Amino acid sequence: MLSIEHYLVLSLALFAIGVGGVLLRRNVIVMLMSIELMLNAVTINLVAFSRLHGSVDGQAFAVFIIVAAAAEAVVGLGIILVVGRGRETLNSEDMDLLKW
Amino acid sequence: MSALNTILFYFFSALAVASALAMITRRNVAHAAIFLVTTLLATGGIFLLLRAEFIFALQALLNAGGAVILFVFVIALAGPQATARLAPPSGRAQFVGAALALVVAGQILFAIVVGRGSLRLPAMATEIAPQNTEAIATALLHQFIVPFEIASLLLLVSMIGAVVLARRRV
Amino acid sequence: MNDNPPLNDRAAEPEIQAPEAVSAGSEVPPPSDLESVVPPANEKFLHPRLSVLQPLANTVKILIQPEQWPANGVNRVVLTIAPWFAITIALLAYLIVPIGPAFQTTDLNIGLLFILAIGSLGIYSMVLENWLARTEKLLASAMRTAAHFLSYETASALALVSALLLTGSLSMNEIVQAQLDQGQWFVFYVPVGFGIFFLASIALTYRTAIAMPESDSEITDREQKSPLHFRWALDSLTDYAKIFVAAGVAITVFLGGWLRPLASYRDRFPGTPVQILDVVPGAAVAAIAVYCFRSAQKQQEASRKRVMLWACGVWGTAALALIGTLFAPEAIMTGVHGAFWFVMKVSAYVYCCLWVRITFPEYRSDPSTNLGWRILVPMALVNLLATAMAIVSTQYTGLPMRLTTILGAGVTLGAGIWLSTISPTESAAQMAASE
Repeated sequence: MLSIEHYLVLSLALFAIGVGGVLLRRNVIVMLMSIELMLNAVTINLVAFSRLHGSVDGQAFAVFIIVAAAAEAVVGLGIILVVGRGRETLNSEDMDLLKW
Repeated sequence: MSALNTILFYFFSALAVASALAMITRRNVAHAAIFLVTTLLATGGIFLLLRAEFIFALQALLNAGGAVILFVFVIALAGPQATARLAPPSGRAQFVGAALALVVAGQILFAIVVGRGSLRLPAMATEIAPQNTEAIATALLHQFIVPFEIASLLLLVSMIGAVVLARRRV
Repeated sequence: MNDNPPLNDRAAEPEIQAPEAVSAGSEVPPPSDLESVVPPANEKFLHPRLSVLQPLANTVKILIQPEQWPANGVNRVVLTIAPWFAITIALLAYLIVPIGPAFQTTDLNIGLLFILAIGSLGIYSMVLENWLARTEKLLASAMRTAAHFLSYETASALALVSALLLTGSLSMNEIVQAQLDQGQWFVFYVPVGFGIFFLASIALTYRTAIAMPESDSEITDREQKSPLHFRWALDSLTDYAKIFVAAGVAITVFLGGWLRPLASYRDRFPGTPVQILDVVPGAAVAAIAVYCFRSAQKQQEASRKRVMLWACGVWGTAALALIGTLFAPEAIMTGVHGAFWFVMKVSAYVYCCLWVRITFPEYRSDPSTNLGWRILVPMALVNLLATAMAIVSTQYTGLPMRLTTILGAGVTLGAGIWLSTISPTESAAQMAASE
């Protein structure tokens, strides 16, 4: 029998993998993908809790998360394109113009 | 039914976690994008198990069908830079990164374990609104109308932002 | 990985290519249909009675054809999976399209959204397949395919939404039911929406006039990607399956699904001459049977005569069954006749799609993308707004729905004409001048 913990642990695993991807990879596109993954993990939590309480509020929030993820992907990829065009690299280590 | 649900849950979870791991370990960005699609679709399967059909449709339509196609586009447009083999981060950075990820995971796990004892969660609700789409629409347009409008504004702003960013002369 | 000989070197593998393709060199365009794979030389060896089995033989031939791979280190696993992925996705949509009230596998409450979601995944197989071949040309073609797909998919989804406004439900069954209740197919309420969906579906299924994923000069590359073997067969099958899916969706949403023409009159005016329409399915099939019978009498050869008589028997049985349902209970009658009308409508729609494809010349890729993004998508948006306003004004003023929706369609058409007068080439020139 599935309980809420199953879904929470799954979401935890995906979220941790996403964090690991952001911290361990140097390619900005993969970092952005990892952020998508983390948002996705949060969505699982919301939908699972929505099922737990038998209301759709959690799913309504999941809609917002998906919308935010789409907006984030669009703008993030636009920035990546521009930066990649100007600096000829997609390595986050090389994007250090603002680093003191 | 319950047994089938359990089997499907483990199947989709294993698929999601495995392809997420493959996504962050693959050197080739294009392959990472493919694995991201697999993860998102497996998560969509989880949503179906949770009887959230509308969220599943959104997931397939917007995330797997829309956002990842954007990634694919950018990878193709960026050309060799995107697939260039970057020097892996230094050993210390790798250690710190992995440790941080594990710490985050540990904290959430701790919260789950503690909450399990203290939060007396009820058993999974068995009855769910049969008209999932209508229920979500009602919630979005009555209870959450302000966030809904703000989300549409966010989409508009990001669309304009993307157009401005992608133009040749900024 | 690299031990295969390069595929464009045809002379090295004459036993795989058809003989005429070898002699003509690489200028010969690849066959674009299953039918044209037939080597004409084979036909005269077949007994005439067996020639009906030729497509079957071709299928087997393609099945046992040795696999060929692009030469340069391509990921074979993905290349193998991609066509299967595509065909699965294309066929999944028929899970929820109702073929008659009695023949629907399942009725999801996200119905149409499911089809759109599933359809949006179809792009991956095309993009991946082209992209993984790791040639610059194929990469460009993959990106162009994706751009086409996105623009026309947006337009078709928006066109569908305009019909959904009239229903208020995503469930396919309820969409058909709403058309029965309102006594009108939605094509008469949103004709422009239907037109947009028709154009977009032609573009999306790539059988086309409007958008070819590859132009003539690159067709050799497509062949190189997938020569005549099983993957190629799956590709063509997917193309056709997509047409049928688009037809099923268009029929269900705009053309009344399994409803017969004037279906709402059945309950409103029982016993009037309109009811003769119920006899049409049986009569049509009976006519085919009679044709077969007469044709059988004209045949000279005994074998052909026997084939035609068999056909006559099959159609005659179907006709008897269809006529018999007239005396059966109401539910059985609507069920069987619904399937008949649905199949008829889908066939007509597919016929029109192929007709357009054959009639019109192929467009270059950029005008067709322009058509998608600059005309169809804005038109679909205007159509959506106009339909919404028509519905609201009907609710508030009590004007007949027919009048308000016609006004809405007029507005949309005007917008479309205005959009098409803004020439894309001109604005491109302006953009170039400003830089």
